[in-house]
Amino acid sequence: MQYTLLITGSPYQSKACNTALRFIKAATSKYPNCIKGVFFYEDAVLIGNQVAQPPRDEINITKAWQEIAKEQNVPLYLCIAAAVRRGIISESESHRYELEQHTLAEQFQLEGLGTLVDLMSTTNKVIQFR
Amino acid sequence: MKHTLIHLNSSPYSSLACKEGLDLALVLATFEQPVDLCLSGAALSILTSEQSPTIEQGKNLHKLLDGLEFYDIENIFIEKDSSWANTETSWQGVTSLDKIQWQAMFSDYQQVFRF
Amino acid sequence: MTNHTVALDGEGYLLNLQDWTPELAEHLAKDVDVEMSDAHWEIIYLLREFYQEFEVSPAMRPLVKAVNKKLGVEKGRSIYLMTLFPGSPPKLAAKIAGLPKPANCL
Repeated sequence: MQYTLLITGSPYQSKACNTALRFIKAATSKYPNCIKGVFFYEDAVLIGNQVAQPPRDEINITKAWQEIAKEQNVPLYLCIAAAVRRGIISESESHRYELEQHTLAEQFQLEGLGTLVDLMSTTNKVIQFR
Repeated sequence: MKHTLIHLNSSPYSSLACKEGLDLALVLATFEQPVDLCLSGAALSILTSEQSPTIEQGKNLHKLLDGLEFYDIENIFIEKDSSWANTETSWQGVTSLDKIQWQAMFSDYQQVFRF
Repeated sequence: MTNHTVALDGEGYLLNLQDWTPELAEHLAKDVDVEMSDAHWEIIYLLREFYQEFEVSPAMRPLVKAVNKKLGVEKGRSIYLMTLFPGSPPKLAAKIAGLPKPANCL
């Protein structure tokens, strides 16, 4: 049984990224390979902003996702169209748009919605957090 | 193959949610995945014809409704007696469901995503 | 083309959609090695109409269906579009038609 997580809630306007984080921790602690991939869409792509600086006494949610992704070897995808319009830019996208800076945090990768469709058809269930 | 329902419930002009929900529907359809739409709440305003938003107000998502046939998206459900339903100024391609059908509809799909 | 330069993005799509003219389309077509004929123009205008009508750049499948509906079943086939716009017809034709890049093109 493998799941895909679809996260659409903004890290600032909702707790979707936090709840999904708790879910993935709980799920992988019992079934290590049960999450095939996590796809961030809508404002949830803001999770991939490497320059955002949360206050020191609050959770660094981006870092928390990076750690779990590394630990469980789960790919974190950001919808490329949603990310680019919100300024989450990988190095290769920064060349394409002739920008000098890039903002995509490590462990995250920009992919088209086709990747989400592929995850949908290759996993048992997709769980949306919004 | 999973049958997907995209449920739009947000105002098309207060956020990008409807736009990004519809984008997902179009991509699913492009990959030949069966997908239906349903509308409720503020998202019903997409159905109102003669919208002419300025560029500041956002894209005119109403226009996309007539294009859905090219993506083989044929079912757009609303709940009967929604305030936008069956008025002369409303897009005619929707299927109205009564309360019981509307509630049963959500169980007809392997996956439902809300925007 | 005249001296005025038209801004394209890194992939050759028009940055300002209002810049499009049929003359410009000829030049954009040359850039991607397409020799424009009446058959090409028919698709380019159909694509521009599609965009004006629905505010979206179609991917392959909806493009084929739209051509099928408007120009008939002989032309509404991917093989026909592939001969006119080799490689990726929706991308190539969108470039020439001065439309945004189709999202998630296969």
